[in-house]
Amino acid sequence: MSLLELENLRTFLENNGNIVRAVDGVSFSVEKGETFALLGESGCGKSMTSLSVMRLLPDAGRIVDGDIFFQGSSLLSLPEKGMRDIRGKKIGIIFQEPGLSLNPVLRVRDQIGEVLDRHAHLDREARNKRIVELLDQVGIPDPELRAEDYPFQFSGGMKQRVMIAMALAAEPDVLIADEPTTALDVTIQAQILELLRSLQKKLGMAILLITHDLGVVSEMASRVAVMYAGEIVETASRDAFFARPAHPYSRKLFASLPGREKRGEMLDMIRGVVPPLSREFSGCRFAERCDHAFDLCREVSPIWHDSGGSLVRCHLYADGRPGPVEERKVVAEPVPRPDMPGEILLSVRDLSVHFPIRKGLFKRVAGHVAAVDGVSFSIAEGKTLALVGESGCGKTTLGKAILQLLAPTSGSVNYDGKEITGLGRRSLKKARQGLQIIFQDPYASLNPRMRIREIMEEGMQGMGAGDRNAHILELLEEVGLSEDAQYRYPHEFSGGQRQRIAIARALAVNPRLIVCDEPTSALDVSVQAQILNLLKRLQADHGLSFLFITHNISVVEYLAHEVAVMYLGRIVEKGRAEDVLTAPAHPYTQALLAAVPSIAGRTPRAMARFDLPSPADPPAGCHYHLRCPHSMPQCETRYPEPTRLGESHEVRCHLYGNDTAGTGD
Amino acid sequence: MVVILWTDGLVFLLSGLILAFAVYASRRPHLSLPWRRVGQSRSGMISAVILICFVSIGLLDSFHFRPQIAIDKGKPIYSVEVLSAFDFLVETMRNHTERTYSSPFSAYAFSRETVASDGVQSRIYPRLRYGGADLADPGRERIPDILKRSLVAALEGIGVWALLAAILVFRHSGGKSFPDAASSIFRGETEIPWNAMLGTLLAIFLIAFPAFALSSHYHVFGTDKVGQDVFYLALKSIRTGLVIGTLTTLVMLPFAIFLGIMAGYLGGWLDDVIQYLYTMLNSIPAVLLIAASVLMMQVYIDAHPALFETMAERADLRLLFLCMILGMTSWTGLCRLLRGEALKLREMEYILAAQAFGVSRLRIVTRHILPNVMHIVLISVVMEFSSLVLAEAVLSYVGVGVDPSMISFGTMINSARLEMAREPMVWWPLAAAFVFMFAMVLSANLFADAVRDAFDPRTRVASRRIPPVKDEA
Amino acid sequence: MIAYLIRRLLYAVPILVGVNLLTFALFFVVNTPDDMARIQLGIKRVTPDAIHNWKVAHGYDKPLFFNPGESGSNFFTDTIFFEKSVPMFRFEFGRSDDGRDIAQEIESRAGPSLEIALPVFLIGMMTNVSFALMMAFFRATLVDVWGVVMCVAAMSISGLFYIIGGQFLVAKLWHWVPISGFEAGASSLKFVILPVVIGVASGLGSGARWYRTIFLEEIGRDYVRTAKAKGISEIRVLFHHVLRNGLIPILTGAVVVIPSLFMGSLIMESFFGIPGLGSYTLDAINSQDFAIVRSMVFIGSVLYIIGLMLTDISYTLADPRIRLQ
Repeated sequence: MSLLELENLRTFLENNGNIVRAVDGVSFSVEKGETFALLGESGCGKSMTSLSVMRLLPDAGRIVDGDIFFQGSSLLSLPEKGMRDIRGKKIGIIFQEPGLSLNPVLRVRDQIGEVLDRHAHLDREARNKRIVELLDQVGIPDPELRAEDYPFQFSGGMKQRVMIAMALAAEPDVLIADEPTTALDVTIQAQILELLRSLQKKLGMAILLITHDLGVVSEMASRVAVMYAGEIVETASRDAFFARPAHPYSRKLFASLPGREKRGEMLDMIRGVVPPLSREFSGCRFAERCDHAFDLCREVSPIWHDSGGSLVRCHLYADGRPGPVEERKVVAEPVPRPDMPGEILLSVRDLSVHFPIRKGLFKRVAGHVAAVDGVSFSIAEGKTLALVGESGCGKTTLGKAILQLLAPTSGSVNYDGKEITGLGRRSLKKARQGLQIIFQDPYASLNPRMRIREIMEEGMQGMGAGDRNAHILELLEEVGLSEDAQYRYPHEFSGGQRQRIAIARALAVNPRLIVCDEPTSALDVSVQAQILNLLKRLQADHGLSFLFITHNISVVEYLAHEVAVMYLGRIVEKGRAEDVLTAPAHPYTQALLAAVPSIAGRTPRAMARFDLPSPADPPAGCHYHLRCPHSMPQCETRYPEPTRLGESHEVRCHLYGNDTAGTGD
Repeated sequence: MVVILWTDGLVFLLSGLILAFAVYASRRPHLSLPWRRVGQSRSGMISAVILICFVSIGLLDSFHFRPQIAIDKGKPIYSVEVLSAFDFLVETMRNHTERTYSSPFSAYAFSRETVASDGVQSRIYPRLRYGGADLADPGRERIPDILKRSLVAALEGIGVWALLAAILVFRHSGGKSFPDAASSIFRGETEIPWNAMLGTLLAIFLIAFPAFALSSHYHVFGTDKVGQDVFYLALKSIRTGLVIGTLTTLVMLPFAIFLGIMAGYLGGWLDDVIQYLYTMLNSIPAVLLIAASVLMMQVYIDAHPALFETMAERADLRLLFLCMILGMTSWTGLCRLLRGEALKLREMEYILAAQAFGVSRLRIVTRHILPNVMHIVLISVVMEFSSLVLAEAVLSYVGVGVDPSMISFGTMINSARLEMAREPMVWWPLAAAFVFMFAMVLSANLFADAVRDAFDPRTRVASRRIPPVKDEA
Repeated sequence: MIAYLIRRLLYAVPILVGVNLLTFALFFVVNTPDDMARIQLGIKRVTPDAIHNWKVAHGYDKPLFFNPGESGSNFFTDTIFFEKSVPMFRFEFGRSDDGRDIAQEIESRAGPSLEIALPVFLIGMMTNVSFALMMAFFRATLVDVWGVVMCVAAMSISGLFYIIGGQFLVAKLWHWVPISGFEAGASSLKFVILPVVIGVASGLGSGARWYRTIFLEEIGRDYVRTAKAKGISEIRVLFHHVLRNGLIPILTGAVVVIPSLFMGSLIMESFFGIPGLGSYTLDAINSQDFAIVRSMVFIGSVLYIIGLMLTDISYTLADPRIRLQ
């Protein structure tokens, strides 16, 4: 008897009169003590599956068919009252946004205590002891004191720890973790995943892990189910899945991951977009995007087949067939990578952006947040510099300051030999013609009230109407959109398509350097591959330079020529991508690289301790010393000067300074 | 002689703007899409039908002229009385004034009078001059007469309704046979709830046709103290209410939009000044501000009687001024909302992108910010409408509302409030004001809800709760 | 916090000066002090001497805003505006144009005003929240649908009809309480009860509907889902989680009017013959008594500004996330 078993679960949502088949016949089982990962891209129904298990669907949702068994008894036939005995007591759940999932006006003590009151019935003293014990267990320092705090007094990672403490308070048999680390930085993600693993070892609960991240699956799961368009298309043990993914969709997911080993080639990508779940399907749901689809796929929905190692819903495995014939290695379009150092296009010297903190009776400036604090780097023509760092490190502010969208406090930005800081509106307009920007959120970066044509025309002043027309068509073709897109509005496009439009808009003024501010972090991995390929091709064709701001290391590995690592407003390490990524010198870079969950499985790692300190009040000396495993006395007093490690490799760490005989590892 | 009063001009301007927007929006899906959602709302469309009836009366009542009474040496002489196209339509109601109170549908006066006939003085309830005047024996003939006239008018109403319905079905048949199209409309299979709208229209016709037919022979809502037909007064009040509800916002919108966006987008000292301005205006109790302004206006009007040719022009100017004053006190709320929104939009990435292109501030405001705050403006305009209609009544009661000579719900209530204390009670003027005002405000509220639901992204969450199949099994 | 309050108080000064300036401008843009004197003395047949005497007696014999005859600071200070405004900042309101002490009137009239306004506010608040919670609990059922319909209908009726209808039914038809009037002390209850009930009833529609949307918005938030995932009951979720968060905007939104409750209700007091500040103001408007109107505007503004400060303070009390500085 499985601990938790879903049997042909179907959950529908009603949306403006349309029926959305969010979960459409899903069956799987979770065994005692294992971690079962449900993997899928956004909108595939994985979260609705987890909410169905808890019977906590949104008001518009409804379970129409199937059943859910916990220890053999049906959850769906329980009355609501009986279900309340299951929630929290037998099945706990944590959500993606710890910041929104805790009640903002209740103390942490009360929120955890509520679970104990409901399920544990302890006396006052035991209750308080248990709360402190739980907080201690999830790694919250000073648990007695912190129990009295409100959620807003915790950082994102700490909030997620509180959520975990709450979910585990009544020692449930199953913990559902619904994208538990998606909203967190990569070093914090590593901490949370480690915590979940150790708690599982200690408490022996089963984890149903919902995620879109292959790396997280690889590190955590014992078994995997891949979900696509409301269905499970493949289930396998972790090892079998990562050794040989069977379903064409699973294989595509692996192929579209960027990474170091794919640097010279185009990424494999999945054509088209995920079909809307409001339509009816006949045949395999993946057929229209599958390279191996044949007539049967479009007509008959495949049943489960054994591929030898995993169960898969694909006609290619019927009757013991071997599956998709060896994937034709997608033509690795050779991308010209001129290794000759080009001319310096943009150079930034000692750039600082400080935001004032106002205090007191007359709101006098009492201090500054040094969002960007004396940053220097340069980008050569046709090259990509990746600016890496966690949220709050100032990388987006830096991007805006380079474009003069924010006035820098001091320092210089030199573009193509001309200083562009402190220019008036008119001269600035001329000077920055060659500089453009692409933003992170494709939904916020296009004005919903303008047609694509109008959006693109915005920058094309001084161009004749005829030229404009031709240019717009040319650009749309270049980014892979059809001609009629120009007369449509942004809401008619998907996230990936919008990002293409944003790229086309930036290209409209023939820029030579584009600041890409996390352009793919809001996109699914298959769509991310499309955008990365596009950017790479544009660079090859037009000799564009990119300042690529990101927190995603595998994207950096895939397309950066140079890397700069930013920590609390300063660049702590920079150099050629090969050097920085293969031989990271700064302990922070090491921790950052090690924290990235890898599909190759878990490796022992140098983890960054604690949270990112507040940029308003960075620690004295080296900002990283509190989290650094190699911290020395001088780290606490003095910010290290840059040290050259190689031709272009530079690091700011006392381990490498002239004054100490430090050694990196 | 055609007279265009100030408020007439503005009403026409507003109608023109709405029409122009409708044409403009119909070709732009992102503008017409939310309106289509309004069109799908049952309660929204039912109230829209009622509102359209009110608005048609109000518009008819806005075509003013002065009838010619004589020609003197080739030069026409015009009456000092300003009439409207609507007055012309309901001329009988307007002219049928009795001496004093009479109850609805009555043929006799409300109170006894001493009448001398044949030298004998007696206190009787005298017959009315117009109400039921053509009946020989009202006691016996009145009810059958009323029923007969209502029935005939109701049938006429059904006839007109059927004609309209047929036209609608015909226009929507689109390839289908006429019966098929009719059944799809009446079974509610169309996107727009035509069946509910037609039902509402039928109900309105079944009330309105008999009411108008009877109004030339009876006083449907009785008469007031000076013998005026209350039904006529209630109908005339509609225009006043509509003018207050719409022109006030029209007057305040430019201020609110301009200042709000400036404060939010440009910030700095301008923001401080604008915030100071609206905090100051907000801090004065609204009634006092309105009262002071209206009194000031009244003093001005009284001091310059020569400026106005007719009483209507004088009353109209006061109405317009009241709209302005109400606008002055109510723009602050919208201004603050818009400031907040502009502050948020200023950080939006598409605005940063526009800045990266070097787009000028003016263009950013007109092309990026303004279109993206218009839904807030629209929602607040429609939400404000009903509260303004209600405010008029209160202000007129206090004595700082419309000109006492102007017919409005407020003046109706004001002059009728003491009548509740009479024995026997005179209830019909209040009842008429209540019924008409309630119908207007309720439909405005329901329509406003539909508009808000369609335009406000936050409220557009499915609120329907579907129980799980096996729940509580 | 203290620094914040001090800053807020300093900020109040320019606002009050602005308010006064506006009141003066409005009043004198068409009126002159001569007109005022004429109105007070009876409009016809007034000798210039009488007008002059009245102006001297009431302090209106100076230029309005600027005194061209004076130099230096007296250019501003030796004017009607300055001499009439400055005492108000010391809360000295002087005498009304018909010669009575305004401060004393306010003192004796604030009580009756509060006796109506405070219960209306408190009971109204509780009733609205209860109805809104009920509708939120039964959301998307018939109770909720009809509740909303009733609310919309109730808010579509003019406040005047609530008063007229209430007076007619309760006082005239059923003779439960007197139609109008007021007595001080314990016997005031029978005069106060009807206006309070009517005040609560007339605010119920819009209030309950507005609070309902606030509660529904809270119910849709993630933390509510977390609370349900703990296995606690719907009622506890509603009272322990939703109500607490929903009350933040409700309470803080309501706090701003609390000081203004002193001002009383214009309509209610005049209908029920309550000798409060509302009817006082109304009478002053009708008799164009500038001294009273000016004082009431000033007091109203002061109370509003106090209300704003109380709002900010109540935020810090209700919501742990907010700190004033």
